[in-house]
Amino acid sequence: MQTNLTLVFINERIVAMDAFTAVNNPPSSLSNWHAGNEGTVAEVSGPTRFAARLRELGLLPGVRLRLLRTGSALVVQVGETRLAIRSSDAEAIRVCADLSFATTPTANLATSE
Amino acid sequence: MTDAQSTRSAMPTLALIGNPNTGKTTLFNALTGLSQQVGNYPGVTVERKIGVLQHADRRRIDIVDLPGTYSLSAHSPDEAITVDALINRQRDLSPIDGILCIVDAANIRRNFYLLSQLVESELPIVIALNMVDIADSRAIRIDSEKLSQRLGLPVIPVCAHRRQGLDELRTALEDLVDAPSPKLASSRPELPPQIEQALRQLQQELADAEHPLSYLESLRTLVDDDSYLQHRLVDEVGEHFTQQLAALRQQAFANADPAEFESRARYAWIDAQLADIVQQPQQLHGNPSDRIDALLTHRFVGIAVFALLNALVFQAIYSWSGPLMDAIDASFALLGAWVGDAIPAGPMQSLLVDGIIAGVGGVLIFLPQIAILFLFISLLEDCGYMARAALLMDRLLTRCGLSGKSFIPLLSSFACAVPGIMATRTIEDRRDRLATILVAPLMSCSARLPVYILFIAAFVPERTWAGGLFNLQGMALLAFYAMGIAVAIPMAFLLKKTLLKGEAPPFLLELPSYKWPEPRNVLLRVYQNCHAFVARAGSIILATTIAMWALAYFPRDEAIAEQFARERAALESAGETAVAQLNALDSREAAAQIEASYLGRAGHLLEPLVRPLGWDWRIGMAVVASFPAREVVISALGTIYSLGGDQDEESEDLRSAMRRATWPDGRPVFTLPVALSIMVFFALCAQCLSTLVVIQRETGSWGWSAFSFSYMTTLAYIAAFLTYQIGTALGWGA
Repeated sequence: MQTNLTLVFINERIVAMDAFTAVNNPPSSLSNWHAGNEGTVAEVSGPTRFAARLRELGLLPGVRLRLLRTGSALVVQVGETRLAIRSSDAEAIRVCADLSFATTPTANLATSE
Repeated sequence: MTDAQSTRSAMPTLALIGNPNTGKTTLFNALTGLSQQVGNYPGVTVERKIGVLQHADRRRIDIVDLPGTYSLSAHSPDEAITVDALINRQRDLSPIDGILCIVDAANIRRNFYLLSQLVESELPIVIALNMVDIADSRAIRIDSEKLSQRLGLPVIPVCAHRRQGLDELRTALEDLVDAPSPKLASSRPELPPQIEQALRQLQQELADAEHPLSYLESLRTLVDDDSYLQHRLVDEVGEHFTQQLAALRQQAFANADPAEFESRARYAWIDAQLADIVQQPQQLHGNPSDRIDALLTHRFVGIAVFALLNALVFQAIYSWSGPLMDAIDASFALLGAWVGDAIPAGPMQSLLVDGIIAGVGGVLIFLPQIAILFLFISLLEDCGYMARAALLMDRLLTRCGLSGKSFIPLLSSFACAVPGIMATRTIEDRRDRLATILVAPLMSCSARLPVYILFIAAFVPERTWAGGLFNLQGMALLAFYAMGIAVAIPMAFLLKKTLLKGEAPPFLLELPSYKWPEPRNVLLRVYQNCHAFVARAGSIILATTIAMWALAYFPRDEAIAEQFARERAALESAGETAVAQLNALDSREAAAQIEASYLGRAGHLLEPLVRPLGWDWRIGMAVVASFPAREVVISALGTIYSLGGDQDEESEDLRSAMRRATWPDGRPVFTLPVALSIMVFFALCAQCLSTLVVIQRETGSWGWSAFSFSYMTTLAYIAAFLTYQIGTALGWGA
């Protein structure tokens, strides 16, 4: 499991995921997440204009994302950017959660390009 | 001289472009200093800012500060302005000779998205890599020299807020202008073949229609469906272009979204440019801003802080400005007395003292309050809090059919509806933007403040609680501010349910990192807004004041003058030279003259219309006269009352003159219900020419201006009527 997660890290910009992740860690809608959760964006559906805006702001499949606030408006961190997104709109953003962040400190997973 | 040189302008203009929250304003201020010229439309505006590059040795270079934008996709009017500037189609702007692109070093990948579009403009570019210090503190390292080589463009690391790297940046800008031929980026994003092919076809079709477009413009037209550029092109080329473009898109992309292909190509280009040049931690790290946000965007604590901040601002406006206002008041009184002594009595003295000094002084006295309001707004915006406030308010605004994006325009409208309406340019959704524009003038702008202050100070009793922290007058002020909001909410809801029906657009907003406000930015903004207010006092208000004075002074009725001369002579020959009696006679003469003036006659015609609101003809006339700008009502009342002779030496101010005004039967005119009815009217009316003009400019139609004026005036009249009638029925007037 550890190996696999590291893999996702390295291939940070690759949209497709390996079979293991697809089976064990299917993407879920961001609006169901808890504050502090981290993961990798799998897809952005919903209105094309909204998806285009998100891409311009750096939120697109393959990037790492962290949820900072929940409620009627979510706050997510993408790179060094913090974005406020209405919870109902965030349903269109599907993310693969890190399986291990609850047990493994993320620092252990650090890799460099 | 080569051809390339001769075609370049002698006084080159560079465009400053960048994402929002990259320190663009700070850089602009640092580069241009106080040479900035803020475009002046009727009223105030913060739109078109042009400055001269300071300490440029070789020649004069103008820099125009374009609105912050994440891309050139031209969906919001803000983006349209930037695109139009780049393709030389922006009105009142000289052609752009080059681009200064500001990039936030900590967010370089995202910021390069805009750059990937700018390199398609065929203009030379200098990149200012800003906030390298902050990036450094987050362990983000950028090899700017190597980046410069790869891009083929100058990349200058700067810290605009510390004024570091500015000399190098200036040199790079001068080099750009002096270069014999424009130096372009060494590569462009490689777009997928289907886009390139469709693009060539589009350019061919438009060339055939004798409407050739640049690469940038045609690419944006092709990819951005329903964009501002597309609509303009349809207007210019003809309705058939809509189908033509749709057919082209269908043929090239089938049902896929070309924007998705495009952004993939752009990020591929970006990653190729940044590979081995940017080193940054792979994990996401929190920063101090996140810890502040844990409190300030907390669903209970955050709202409480927001409410407290608002209360603080209103208390500050009311209590801090006192000494300054007294000083301004005293100097105008002195000036009036001095001019009155220096010039012999007659029309000229009356015009200067009763008209201009009383009128303009009565408006300028509110400058301290306007400065305090703008100080708070600029502080909150500069430190990054405004975006959080928008986030907190999204929930409430969604319920009335708007979104958090409407928050900043609405809040700015508390200072002035003109910049507020212009701030709606960041709202993409047309219906949301229109609804925001239509309710923005309901927010209590600074021009209403003088009206509230005058009437509250004169007619609301002074009472304090909690050791002076809260006072009844301050609370009354807050209540009038709240009233604008209380009416705007159902109004927006109604508009979104009827005229502007449609699906709620998504809400997406960047939260910038908190930072200490930049004193220079804040003070410059306060200065620019105060300047605009004073300029208004010197133009629109001065002109209306003079017109009001003339209408109230002329025609001089000789019969009245003779009658009073006879009475005066009778008094003096009877040996009664008591000063009080002579003064009373003067007052009666003045009152008789003003009743017989043009203004008096018009006022009496109007009186039946305003009588149900509890107003006499003088208030009615003052309100009509304040059509160009609300604060004119003060100077109009000032002119009427000083000409009406209701003043004596002990109390020269308008407040006491109003308190002593009576109906012919001796009852006081200004009771609490009358004062409230006037304030309610001004809270809701659309008495502001600048606002109506800016609504026309921003919506492109006088129809919306007319709509705003009629719905607001109707609301104001009904609400003032109810206030007066209910207040009187409850016995407040006794």
